[in-house]
Amino acid sequence: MFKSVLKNHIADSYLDGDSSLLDDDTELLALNIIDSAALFDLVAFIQQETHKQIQMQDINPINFASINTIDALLQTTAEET
Amino acid sequence: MDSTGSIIETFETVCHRYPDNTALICKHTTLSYSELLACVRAWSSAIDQTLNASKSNNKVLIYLDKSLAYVEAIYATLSQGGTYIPVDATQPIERVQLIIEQAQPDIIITTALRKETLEPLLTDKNIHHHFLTLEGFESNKSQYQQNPIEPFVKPDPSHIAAILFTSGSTGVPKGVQITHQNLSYFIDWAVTELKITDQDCLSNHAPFAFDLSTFDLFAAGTTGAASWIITHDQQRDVKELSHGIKNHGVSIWYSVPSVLSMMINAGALTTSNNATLRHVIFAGEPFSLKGLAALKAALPNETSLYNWYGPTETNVCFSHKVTDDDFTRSSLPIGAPLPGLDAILLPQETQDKHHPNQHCGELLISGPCVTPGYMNVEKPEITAHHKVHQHPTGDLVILQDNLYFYQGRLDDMVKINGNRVELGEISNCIDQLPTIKQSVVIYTEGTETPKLIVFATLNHQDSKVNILQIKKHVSTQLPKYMIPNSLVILHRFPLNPNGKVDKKALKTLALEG
Repeated sequence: MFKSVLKNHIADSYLDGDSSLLDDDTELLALNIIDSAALFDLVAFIQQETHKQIQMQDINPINFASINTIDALLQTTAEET
Repeated sequence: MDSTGSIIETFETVCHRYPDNTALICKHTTLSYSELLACVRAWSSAIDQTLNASKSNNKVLIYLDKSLAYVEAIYATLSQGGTYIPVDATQPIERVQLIIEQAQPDIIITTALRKETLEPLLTDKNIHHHFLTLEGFESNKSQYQQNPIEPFVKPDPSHIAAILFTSGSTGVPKGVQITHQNLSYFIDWAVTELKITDQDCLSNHAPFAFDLSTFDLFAAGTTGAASWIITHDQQRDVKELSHGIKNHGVSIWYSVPSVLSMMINAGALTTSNNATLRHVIFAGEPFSLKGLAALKAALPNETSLYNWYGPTETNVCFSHKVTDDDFTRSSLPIGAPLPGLDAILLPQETQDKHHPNQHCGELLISGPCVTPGYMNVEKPEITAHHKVHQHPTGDLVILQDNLYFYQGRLDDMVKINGNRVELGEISNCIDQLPTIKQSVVIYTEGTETPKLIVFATLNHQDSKVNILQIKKHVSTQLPKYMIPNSLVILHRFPLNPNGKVDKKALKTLALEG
């Protein structure tokens, strides 16, 4: 389940390793958990873990608003061949 | 630009001289200068009718999303000889309320929904204001447009054109007053330096509450150039930014460095979309030479790069045009003062008084760029300077080879993505949490990925608090860029020999990670 991998990564990298209170709808950008610099590190992590290529036009505040929106994006993103 | 007139007089002339030029672009809508002028007249009439009086010194607080209407309302205010007070609509309502309490505007321009939220909160505090809603304006627009058209009011150069609220260390935002003379001085210089004409298109990336926006708006509005108003949801969307530069033929880009770095990291600046860029200007925070080199490599050879510097109290007062030599230095210079300004380096107490280093000290700016000070905060030591058009910046600066270099701050104020932040304002907010006994916030400025780190002691040793709780609490009161990144719980704070919290020791702890 990639959502739990993502959740652990976000907690470890951006929340002092503490995942309590972090849920799939927690606002990642609005709460400044992910800022514009961290966003591209997160994209690199997701691509590495899922072998999916995220296009530039998909890197936007709507798709990266929460773990759930990222997951929804990944559902529509094809794996690299 | 006509150097003898105010920006609003020049704007009126430009509207008549270039009626068919595109003045504003926002999302899929464009306005020509003649259309913009008609809208400005209508807003002006709406303000008068809402206040039931025609007055030339209204304070108009604008609490809208970035939009064409926001710009129209700004120009309408200035056309009546009033003062515009821009509020960033993305910040929490508590902070907006604080700004309103401090600003005491004659009228608030906002949406019906925001009025519905705001009015009862203000009424509870026995504060009553006139409201003009965007919806009310739109529904009566034709009636407002039919009213007799009055000429623009010619403002006195010393009259306050805008009040921009910035972070205050006590938790109360400070309102920096900007005169017509301040704006004219800066815009006049910028238009000449960059040779801006009615053929240019300027990006407007910064929120209107941020002093960077005065360049984009008024440099365009006084030359007949176009301004591309970048909305909040487009500001960090690299695809939107990339397409906008290409589709609108942006020739002058101005933003904080972090936005440029974001575009570079995403590969969003390419020769296929940036061929029209004549100038790329950045300000608000230091740009690393590594980041700058990546930017330069992505731009056409003929695009010039500028580093502008200046606190809100002076707006831009230093400029540096990037040269190849800069890439051999250890940091990028802030350059030299604009023509007509003086820079003095004040020796620091820590220096040897008998052998002061004249090339290092707190930068004091003197000249017509210096604003008359704060509307709501009395700082006697600074007010005395402002009266004689001087501003002690609080920035430590060195002078080498006739170029000035920024070295850091002398106090707790930091710049985050170009926004001024008093760290004490964040601590005050965190201290409201019942579990927190005391907090001190440190910013690891100068590192590759600077962070806001909270050091805190707890009221009870067995209390629990984590960074996400703090983020959620701070997000209800302060703008996003002031939300901390990390939390460190201490049993007690390290103290310096004076018995105060040793912030240097905390910074060392923060840097050690």
